[in-house]
Amino acid sequence: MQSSEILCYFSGRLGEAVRKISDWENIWELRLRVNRPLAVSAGKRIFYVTDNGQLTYNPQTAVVVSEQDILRCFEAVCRYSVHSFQREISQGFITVNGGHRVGFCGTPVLRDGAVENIKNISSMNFRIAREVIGCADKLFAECFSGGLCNVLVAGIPSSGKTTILRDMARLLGERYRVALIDERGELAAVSGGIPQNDVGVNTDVFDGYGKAAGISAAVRVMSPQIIVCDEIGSEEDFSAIREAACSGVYTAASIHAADMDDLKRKCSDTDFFDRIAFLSDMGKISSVSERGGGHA
Amino acid sequence: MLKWLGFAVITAATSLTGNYFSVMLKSRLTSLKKMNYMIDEIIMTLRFRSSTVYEIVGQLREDERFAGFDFLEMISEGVPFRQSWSRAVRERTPRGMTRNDAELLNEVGARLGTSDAESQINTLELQRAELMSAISAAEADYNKKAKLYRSMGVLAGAFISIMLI
Repeated sequence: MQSSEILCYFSGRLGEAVRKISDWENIWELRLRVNRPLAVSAGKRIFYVTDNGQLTYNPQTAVVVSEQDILRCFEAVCRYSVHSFQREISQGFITVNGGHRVGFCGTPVLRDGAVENIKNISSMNFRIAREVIGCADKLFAECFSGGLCNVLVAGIPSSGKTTILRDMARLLGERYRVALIDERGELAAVSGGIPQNDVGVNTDVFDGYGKAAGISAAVRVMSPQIIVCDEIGSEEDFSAIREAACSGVYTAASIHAADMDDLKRKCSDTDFFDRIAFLSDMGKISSVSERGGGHA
Repeated sequence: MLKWLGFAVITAATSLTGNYFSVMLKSRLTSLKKMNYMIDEIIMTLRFRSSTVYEIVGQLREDERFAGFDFLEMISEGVPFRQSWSRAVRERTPRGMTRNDAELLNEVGARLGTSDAESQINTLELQRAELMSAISAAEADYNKKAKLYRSMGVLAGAFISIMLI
């Protein structure tokens, strides 16, 4: 059970309740909010967790999260080493062992206008990463049957972009030299320099690099045939991808976008990508567009 | 014959006691010096590697210079770090350390991981300043008392033996 990796972050009464949950298969998110019930998202529904780990629709019977619970949980997620996660804390999330992402919100501590730390944490959100081997088989066959090309996987949040991209990296890594830019540590889930997820035998992981810096470094030092990176969006990212293309390196990336119109608003250069796959929900591919808007 | 054997046993026992106290002074000095190296190592790791507290402890454990610091072996990831460090120091205080020395060692762990690297380094430097005065005191103690304890041990044995005659 991949979710067992997150159990160590919960202690006390909350820990007991979480450890007693039996139906982890469908749970993809846990939410802790100060003085409010512990909630989990399973499928498309929100449940609350009782003292004995039962999932219920009734928040009145659920275990209530205290400020101390959140603080202890936050310290454990930081591995009691705030200094090692300064960048992540300032971004509002930490990726823990197994590639699970823990987001938190509270009051920012600012220095020169930038978020340096977060205090008074009021909510935490554990997004459980799942490695679904084979989920990108179909998309891989559609996109890369004729050789390498530039691919963009688009979808709304929680549509399974990262899961698809991770499996695509695995498939690409079996055939090509791949550089995986894993800014948030969600794709490869590197721990102690070793990827915890299967991302392919020929894949080099740039763990913790910013996307643009990672792409430049990858092109410079590892001569990849294709670069894989998650959640591109800034002009800097697109510029780095275009520069990589000038060096003959292809890109497979993901982006937040519900449909082509949404995508065009976020990315002025959609024509750069040979294939654009839209995910509808939970990793289901709704359509794959070829360059020029045609559908494959 | 038995009498002489008794005298020999008494003298040996008092000499060993004197020697024990002398060795403890030496051990204290050695432990404090090791602690100084340990702080050095932690500062370096914080500054250049940004390692987590568990990675730092793991690295210290593997370093032969800290071979006598058994408390490092006791620190585990199952419990909050500060709690784990404090319990380990309490249960496996390095050889020769006084209660104050152990408290200083405890303080080192109490602040680890609680703030950004720079603040932690500053705190460690302050703790090191306190440690350096403990080392000076331990050195003075050792120079002054180590030989005295050994001599006193032998002399006490001889004195008791003479008194018994």
